[in-house]
Amino acid sequence: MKTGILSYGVALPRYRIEAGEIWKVWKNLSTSFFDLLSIGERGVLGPEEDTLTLAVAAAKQALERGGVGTEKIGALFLGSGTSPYATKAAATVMLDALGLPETALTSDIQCADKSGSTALWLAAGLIESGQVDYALVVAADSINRHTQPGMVLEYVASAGAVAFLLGKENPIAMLEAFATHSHDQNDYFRVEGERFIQPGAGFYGWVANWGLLDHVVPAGKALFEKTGLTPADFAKFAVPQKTGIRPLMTMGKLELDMMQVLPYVLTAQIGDCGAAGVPLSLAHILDFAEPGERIGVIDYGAGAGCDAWSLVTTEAVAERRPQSGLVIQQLEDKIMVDYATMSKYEQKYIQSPHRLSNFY
Amino acid sequence: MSTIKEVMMSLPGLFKPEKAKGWNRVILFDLQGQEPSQWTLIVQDGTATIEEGQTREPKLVISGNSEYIVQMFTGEVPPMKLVNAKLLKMKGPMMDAIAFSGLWNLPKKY
Repeated sequence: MKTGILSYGVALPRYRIEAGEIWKVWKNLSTSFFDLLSIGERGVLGPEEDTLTLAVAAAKQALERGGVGTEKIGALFLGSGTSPYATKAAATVMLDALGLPETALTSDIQCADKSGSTALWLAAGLIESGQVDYALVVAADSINRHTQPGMVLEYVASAGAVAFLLGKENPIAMLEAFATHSHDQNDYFRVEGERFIQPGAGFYGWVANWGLLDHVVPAGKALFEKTGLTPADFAKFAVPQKTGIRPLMTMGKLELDMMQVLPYVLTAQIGDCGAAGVPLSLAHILDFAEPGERIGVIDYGAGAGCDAWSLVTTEAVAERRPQSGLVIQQLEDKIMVDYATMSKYEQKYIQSPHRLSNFY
Repeated sequence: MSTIKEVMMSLPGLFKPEKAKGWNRVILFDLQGQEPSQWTLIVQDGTATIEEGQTREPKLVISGNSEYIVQMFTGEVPPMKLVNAKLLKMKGPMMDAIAFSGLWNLPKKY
């Protein structure tokens, strides 16, 4: 392939809540699960912050870092399972906010937590086939807004956005190969008209990650078979990290080395960023990657499916290394809030749908 | 046998910086046994520094007898043997506890 990542951008909520704050209100989980599942802090949406605003912020950073004129962008895909719109493309709002050309192919792509990976490979196909020169792909979610108060999912439900600018000209990482696996498996879902995500297999399904290995293993093995590569050929992996158990399960079943995986797991710092989760881990890897490193990406989406793909960094990854806005810097730039503030910001208090103002 | 201070001061030299890029953590050794003491290990921007006492709020706490820590870092006993026997305890995200074990060039005498 000649297509690669030219630049990337990340946006995380600055507000955070510590799991213990949530536990003080609900006391619905043995605290021993916190260490076991690597539950620590998770993102809280700020006032007026949602999937779309985070996506725009990440896209702006990617465009600034990429140095490609917005008029050259031929496609814009927003990969998300929590678009603010049930009907209507949120990506068109992004298009206007970013000043991208109206001739760009613009669409939302939805495949739960792997929406971003799937969108990225659709965009790569357009570039590889010569239909467009540059594409902007954004993985964004606000799982926290779509998690019911009192459900254990609340301990990790977070938000974030990661954008990738794709093209063929001097990429920082070349896309290499791709494999996927999908079949219907109802682990997490949200039906029409429903605000909150439901776990299809309940508490046990959450802890045991029902569905994960049924897709991650065949997709991962397919990638290795397709490329003739083995886990030892990879420097690092970005893997599913809804909770800290997922990386261990993925690592174990695909026989990855722990130090290829664990230093890039961010669950305890930011929680479950949904579609932005694995891309966030990839961005964290790219922040520190050296030229010539092969990186594996294993992105699982509820419902369910898994995209497994690989990329190889180039000399440009060191030459164009971001000097600010690194993932680690954004993780450490935080304002802690309590449960009441979190509930207010994430609009969890019942309010009239006809409310016009905060002042009455 | 080495003292706990000698072992703690040797940690920056045993550290694998290439494994810890972006893995910024504060780890507290809260030790009892022959040499009761506390040590704060700061992993930041790919370097490891050690300070005596609890100098920062830790994300991971490793507790147990000082002699087991000495045995672990001098390569006399495998780390997992000490953890499995509950002679050393780790309090904090399991991801961090496991990743911690991969950050060191430990000599092997067993």
